[in-house]
Parts: sequence; C-alpha cells; structure tokens
Amino acid sequence: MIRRILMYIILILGAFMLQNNFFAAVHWIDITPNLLLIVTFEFGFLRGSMHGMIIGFFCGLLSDFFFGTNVGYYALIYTLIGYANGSVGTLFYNEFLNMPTLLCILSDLLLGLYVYITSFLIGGATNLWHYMLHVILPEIVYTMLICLLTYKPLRALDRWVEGLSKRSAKEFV
Amino acid sequence: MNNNESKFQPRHLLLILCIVCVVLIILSSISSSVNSAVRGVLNDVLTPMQSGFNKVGSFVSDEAEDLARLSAIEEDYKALTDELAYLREQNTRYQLQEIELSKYRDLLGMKEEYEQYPTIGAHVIGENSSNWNHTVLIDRGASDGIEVNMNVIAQGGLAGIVTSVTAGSSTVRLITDHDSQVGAMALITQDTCIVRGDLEVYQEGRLILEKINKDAKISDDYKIVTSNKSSIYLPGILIGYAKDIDIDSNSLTKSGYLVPVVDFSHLDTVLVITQLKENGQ
Repeated sequence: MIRRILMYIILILGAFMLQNNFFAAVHWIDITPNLLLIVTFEFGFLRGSMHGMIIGFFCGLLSDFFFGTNVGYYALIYTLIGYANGSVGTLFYNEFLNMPTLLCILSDLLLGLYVYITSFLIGGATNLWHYMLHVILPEIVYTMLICLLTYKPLRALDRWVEGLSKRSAKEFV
Repeated sequence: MNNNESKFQPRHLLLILCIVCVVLIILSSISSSVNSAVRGVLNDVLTPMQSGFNKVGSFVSDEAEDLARLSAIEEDYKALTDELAYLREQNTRYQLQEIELSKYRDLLGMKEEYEQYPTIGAHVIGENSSNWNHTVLIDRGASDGIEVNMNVIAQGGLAGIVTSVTAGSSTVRLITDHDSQVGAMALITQDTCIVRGDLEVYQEGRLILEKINKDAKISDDYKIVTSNKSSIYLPGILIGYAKDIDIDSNSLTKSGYLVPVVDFSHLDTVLVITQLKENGQ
C-alpha cells in the first residue's frame, strides 16, 4: 500500500509540474493536455472509485492551491470524475483501449462544461459554441492523444506496483 | 480486483470529499487567507521543484525553436547586417537627440515612464494550464516583500496583479483573465474606461475596452493607461492601444478593443511594483 501511495504522489506531482511548469515554459504549446485528469481517470478506471476519487481530490486541490481563486473548486469536479470513472471501470473492466479513450473524452468534456457553466456562463459569456471550439475541444483532443500514449505504460506501472506489493505481502506472511 | 474497498463504501467517501470541497469553496470565497495559509505548507517543497521543471521546459522550448529557426536565420543574417550599418548611423543621430530630450525633460520636471515606482524582478515559473484562466506563478513571495494587490508589469506594460502570496512564490492574475477588470483612461484625453479580459476576444490577442462615455474622445491607437481612480492599480501604467471603438447599442457608452503592449505568450520575467495604491483594498 505504501508503494502504491508513493506511486500516486509521484504521478500526481509529476503530472502537475509537467503540465503547469514544463508545458507553460514551452511557448508553442497553446492548449495544454490535462495530465492531472489522465492520472485521475486512469487510476479511477483501473483501481475503482475509491482510488479515483482520492487521486482526483488531491489533483484538484493542488491546482486550487497554486492557481485557483477558490480552494475546492477543481477538487470537487476532479473528485466526481475520479468517482464516476471508478464506477464505470468496475462495470466494464476489459482490455480494450477504446473504453478509456471514450471515458477520457467524457471526463474532459464534463470538466470543460463544469468550468464553463460555473465561471463563464454566470459571468455572462453565453457563447458556448466559441468556448467549445477553442478551449474544450482542443483540450479534449490533446488529452486524448496523451491518454492513448500513456494508458498502457501506466497500466503496466500499476500492475508492477501491484505485483511488488503482493510479493512483499507473501514474504511478510 | 478491488479487495480493500468492502469495509467502507466509496459513496460515503465521495460524500465526505464533496462536503470538504464545498466547505473549502465557501471558506475561501469569504476569506482569501485560507488559500495562502494552506498553500504555505506545500510551498517550501514544491516551489523549487516547479522552478526546476520550468527551467527544463524553457530549455527544451528554446532549443526546439532554435532548430526550427536556423535556416531562416541564415537569410535574415545577411539582410540584418546591411540594416545594422544603416541603423548605426541613425542611432548616433538619435543619441544626440536623446541627450537633448533629457535636457528638456529635466527642464519640465518630467519623470521617466516607470521610474517613480520601486520594482522587483521575478521569473514566471508556472502557468495555469487549465486553458480557462490566465494566472501565472512567480518565484518571489512574501519574503521578498510581495503583497496581495501589488501591480505586475512586463515588457513596458501592465501584465497583472498579485492575487495570493506565500513565502517564496505568488500567484499573478493576468489582465487577460476573464475575471480581470482594470480601471483605465486614455492618456491624452483622460477619458475613463474599463479594460476587461475576455477569453473569446483574447484569441485575437485583444482585450475588451468598455464603459467609455459616449462623448469621450477615444479613438484608434490612443494610449490606454491605468486610471487615477482605480482602487488597486497604480496610475499611469501603460496597458495598450485602443482599437475599433464604436458606440454601444444603448447609445450611452462606447466600447471597443485594446491591444496590450505585453506579449502574454512570451511572459518569462516580470517586474512587481512593490508599492501599493494607498487607498487600495
């Protein structure tokens, strides 16, 4: 369990910094893929809603601490996304790549709509189509691409850590 | 597969986490100190790491840009050497004029554009990647004398304002953020207006310029600076230039666009003005 927690911490911090510090310095990336979302939903999908929502909570909290105006704003939606993917993941656990891709798209869409509705629509920006085309959709495309690339390595990492934990559990017994 | 989830139902945790989030949202919207207080704990560990990631990013970005540009540079080089000779000759002439100008400035008692404000330099080490908000993280904080509501300038123009501070870093909300509103005025006519960030308009590199009195004489390419009346922004900082000013449908006000002087996609270093507007809050 400790190994797993350690892996989560490293992945969350890594994704956060890659996204907010590394990509931010690379000028020709206009729209950044949402790596925190990938970590949240992939482990939600692979390990169930408990893992998904705890990871989501911390991913969101980290974004809130450093960039948000209201602490808890992103934490709330990431928690929900983690939970939702966990619930779906336990229903449809399989080897196909299509399911995570679909979930990735839905999760990012949900996140985009959440931000749009709670902080833009209320502020009077009623032109959903524009935001859809210029913010939400590009982010979904990039996030989906990264998801396709990272799904298998992350799953392998997950199984490796699981294997390590089981082995050490046996030794302990 | 999921063996350790049987004792405690996930939906109970979901409920707890959601309540925690909602409580945090409410608390932090009441008092901004909640954000800073909690962030302070994480800050000491994470800021140096973030700074490191940012440096690596800058390096990779610069290297890649260099490679892409190499062939174009060869051609430019030839053209530029010719231009250089011409400019050198012109420059000497301007230098003479500059000396003359500073003499006149002294006579009139005018000051240089930003010299009256004490500033401190800072590096941008992080950028909000949510694609929705335009906030950046800088590597100076309370220990360097940074406080909330200090104005941030870059490349000779207003970039944003400090919204939260910890010991070693601060968050700056850029004027392009959709939450940003700056009380401004036209430099020449002193007509007041509001500069507002808007994600939609910013796609074209612009900001919204609004609430201009219908009789105000603001037209294209007028210099827009921060207003004396603004409660948090220091007066006289250049923001940008007016564009496409038109009368509103209510016939009472005019509005249009503002082209900022700051290139927000290449924001690497900024200057924080360490003086707060006195009547500010």
